[in-house]
Amino acid sequence: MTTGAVSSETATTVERSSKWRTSLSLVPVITIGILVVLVLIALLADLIAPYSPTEVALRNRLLGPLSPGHILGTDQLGRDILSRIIHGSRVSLAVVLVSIAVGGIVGATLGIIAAYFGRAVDTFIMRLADVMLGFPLMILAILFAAVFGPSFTNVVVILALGMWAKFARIARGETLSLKEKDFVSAARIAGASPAQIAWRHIVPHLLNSLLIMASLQAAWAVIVEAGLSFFGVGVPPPAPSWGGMISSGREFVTTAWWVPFFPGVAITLLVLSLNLLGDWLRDELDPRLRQAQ
Amino acid sequence: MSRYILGRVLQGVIVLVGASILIFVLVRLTGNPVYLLLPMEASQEEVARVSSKLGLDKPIHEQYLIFASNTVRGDFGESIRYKRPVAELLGYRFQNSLRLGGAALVLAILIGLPLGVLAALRRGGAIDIVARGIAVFGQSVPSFWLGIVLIAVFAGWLKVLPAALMGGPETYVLPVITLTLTGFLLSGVLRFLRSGMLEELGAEYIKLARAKGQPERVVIWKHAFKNASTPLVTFIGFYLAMLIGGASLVVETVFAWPGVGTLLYEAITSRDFPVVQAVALITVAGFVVVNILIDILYGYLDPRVRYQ
Repeated sequence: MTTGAVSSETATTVERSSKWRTSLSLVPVITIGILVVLVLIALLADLIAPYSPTEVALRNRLLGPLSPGHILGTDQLGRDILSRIIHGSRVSLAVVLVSIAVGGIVGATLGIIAAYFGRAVDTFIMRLADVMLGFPLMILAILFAAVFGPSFTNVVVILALGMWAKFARIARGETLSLKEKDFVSAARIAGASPAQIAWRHIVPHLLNSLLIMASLQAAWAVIVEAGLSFFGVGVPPPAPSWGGMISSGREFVTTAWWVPFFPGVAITLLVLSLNLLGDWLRDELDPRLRQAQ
Repeated sequence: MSRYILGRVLQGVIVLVGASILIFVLVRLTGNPVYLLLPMEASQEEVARVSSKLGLDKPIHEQYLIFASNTVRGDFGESIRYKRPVAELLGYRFQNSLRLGGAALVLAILIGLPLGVLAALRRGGAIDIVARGIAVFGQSVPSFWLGIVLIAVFAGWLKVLPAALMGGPETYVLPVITLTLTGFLLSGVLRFLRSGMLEELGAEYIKLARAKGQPERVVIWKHAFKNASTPLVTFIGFYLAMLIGGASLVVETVFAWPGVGTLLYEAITSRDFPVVQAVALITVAGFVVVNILIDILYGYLDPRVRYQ
């Protein structure tokens, strides 16, 4: 029974709860478009790259952009920069996808466990997450590389370690509120085990929030991966990586600016798309999410 | 309430001890620093002798106990590489990092505060779009790349600013700009303030204040802003804690700034155990303390939290 005066608050609430507004909005179209293109580029790298990314051609050292045959120029070993950027996307995308999968699944699982079993387990997991959220990952990465040697697995582990805490926090928050709902109690009375309840009832509701977090964390992961490569503790050669290109091109920045410049543009483009997508998803699907963080 | 505090402190201690053991073991896995100190042809006896002098030949749990008991008494040992007390080394480097990070923080607040508040006030307007644009770009641009580009433009091409190293005020310009714009500093300030203000401005008590006839300026600053700024304060607390742990490593490396970040990097690569252990431990401790303080604060403000 509503009172006569419909306040503006009600109007806002109604508007916010409609989840799928017009899908003609520009942001998702552009960002998803860019991401799809990047994925395709990564998958078809061998076919579309005009040159081999590792072939050294000292005759063509440090050619500037718009040189014949080399739109983005060449680096200090004569390698075509465009081709290296194309192949570099593979490393970035592969690393990010795998670490999000690992970090997301581990994090969400821990979050659900923490929310479900509560008390000591909850506190333990959340304390762990707190420490993880603040720990300077770069240092940990260098330490890992010093101990285990740089490798693809190392990078994935480091990234997943940095990511799981946020997934866990989201999962825990949502699970806590879902736990009290009637349909969960009904399932429990019907005899479902905690695992069954978690899988069939709770997880579907988490997917929205997890997706948003995944997009934003992907953005973060790309930058961190680039940073790791910059320090030489990323995925080891011969695979070209954008961060590594910036690192080795650094000394030429005043003489051959294009060498470190273009890889950075690629990174920025990818991360920007992921961030914009994540923000848009967040605004569309769940304005509540801002508080959960 | 005191039980709550006690519980938190106890948890903090456990975290600290656990972290210290982990760091201790991990660091020692990187190898024996003695090999990096002595020339390649040094004999096994030389290696053994120096190792013994540094206390590295004792069984690991003994080393840990020595380390723990010393640390608790405030003695962080001596850097293997620099042969100076770690505390002194750390103090100097941290000061440098703080200068950089502190300046960046101040800049971020100077720019971010008015921008964030205005963006919230005129939601959807030009300032809002600009603020959100800066925030998103800041998070998307790799800091080392921006630093390199800035060096190229201002030091290489225009030749108006120095390229690296710490010195007079002009050496601060580029690194501070880089640090402020990228990562989560300016972006974080803008976002926190904007969303905080938006949340507060929609609340009931603001309507009441306006209904009471309070001048808009008071409503905005004395009421909404004060409440909206709490998450910001938390954020700043964490940011400073992260600075201790070498979070500014990337920018420091690009600009050859002698801070904690670069110290840590050198320490890890030269297997300077005491330094790495000390920094890592202090960082974790800093975190634990900030977290506990925040928990206590929230426990005080919101009694529901205490019964979790």
